Amino acid sequence: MGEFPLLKGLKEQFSGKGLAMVGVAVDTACDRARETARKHGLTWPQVCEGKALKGEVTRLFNVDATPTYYVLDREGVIIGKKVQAEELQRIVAEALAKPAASR
Amino acid sequence: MKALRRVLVVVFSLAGPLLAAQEPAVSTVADTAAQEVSRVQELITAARNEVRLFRQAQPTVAWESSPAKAKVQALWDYGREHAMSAAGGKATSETLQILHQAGRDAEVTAKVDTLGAQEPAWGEVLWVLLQTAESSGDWSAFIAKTQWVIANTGDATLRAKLWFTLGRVYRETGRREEAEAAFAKAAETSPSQGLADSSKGAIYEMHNLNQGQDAPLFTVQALSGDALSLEKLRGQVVVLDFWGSA
Repeated sequence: MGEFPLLKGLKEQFSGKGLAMVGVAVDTACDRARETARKHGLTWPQVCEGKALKGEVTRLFNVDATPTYYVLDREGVIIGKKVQAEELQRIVAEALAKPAASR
Repeated sequence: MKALRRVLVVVFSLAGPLLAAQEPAVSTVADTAAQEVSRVQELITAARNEVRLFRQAQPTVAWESSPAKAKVQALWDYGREHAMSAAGGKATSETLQILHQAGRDAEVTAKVDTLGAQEPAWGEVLWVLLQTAESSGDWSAFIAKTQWVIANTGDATLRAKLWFTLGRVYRETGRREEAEAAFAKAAETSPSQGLADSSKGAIYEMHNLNQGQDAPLFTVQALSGDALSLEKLRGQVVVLDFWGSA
C-alpha cells in the first residue's frame, strides 16, 4: 500500500497522454479490495478475482508477491517485467515518448 | 541487483517454513526441550552482545583473543553437542548468522562444511550462506552446498524447496538452462502442491513473460462491473499493478 502515492502521481503525470493503468487486487476478499481502492483514491480500473495468488490474471503474469508491476508498450509488448516502483516513471515516460508504430 | 534482493526476500520466506516443517527431533540429553531453548537463547544473547562490543571496538581488538570469539564458540559448541535437536539447530544457524554479521564469512563457509546432511537446520543455514554469496557476489559455495544437501538429505520437502531456491539463484545469475532444469526438478519432486505450482509458474514465466514478448491477454469483469480487456488498451502504454490490501 505504501506504493499508492507513487501510482497516483504516475496517473496524474501521464493522464490523457496515452497511459492506461490497470490494478489487480491480489486478495481473497473483494469487498475489502474495493474499500481499499476507494479509501486510497485508486481511480483507474481495478480487477479482483477473489482468489489471491491463485487468480487467473495473477497466474497469467506469474505474480508471487505484491506489489508487482508490468509495463506494456502501445503494441502490448512487455517492456517492464516485475520492475521496482521507482523505475515505473522512467519506463512509462520513455515508452510514451516513442511514436505509436503501425503493426 | 535490486531484482536479486527481491528474490532473496522470497527465498528467505521459504526458510521459515523449512524449519517449521521439521519433525521435533528427540534429544539425546536429559534437558527438556524448553530448557534447551532457553539455554540457547541465553547463549545467543551473550554472543550477540559480545560481537556488538567487538565491532564497536574495531579495529583495536583482535578477533582471536576477543570475548566475542569465545561466546560465539560456546554457542557453536552447544549446536554441535545437540546437533539433531531443534534447539541445537537454532544454535548452529544463529552462530553462522552472527559470524556473517561480524564479517567473518570465510568462517561461515568452513563451519557449514562440517555439518551433517541430516541436521535439522539446513533451511536456515543455507539462508546464511546465501547472504554471504550475496555480499561477495560469488555463488559457487552456496550452489555447491545446496546441491550436496539435495543429494544427501532424507527430507523430500527440503529437497524440493532447495531445487526451487537453486532455480531462482541460477535464473538471477543468468544460467537459464540450469534454472529451468532445477525448477522442473522442484515441480516433479515436491510433496506440496503449492511449491509444485510455483515451480511450474517459474518455468512458464521463463518461456512467456520475457521483456520483448507479447503480454498475455485477458478479459475480465472489473470491480466497477465493466468488462476490462487488455487487448482494447492497444495504442496506450499500460501499467499493470498487482497490489495487496493486507
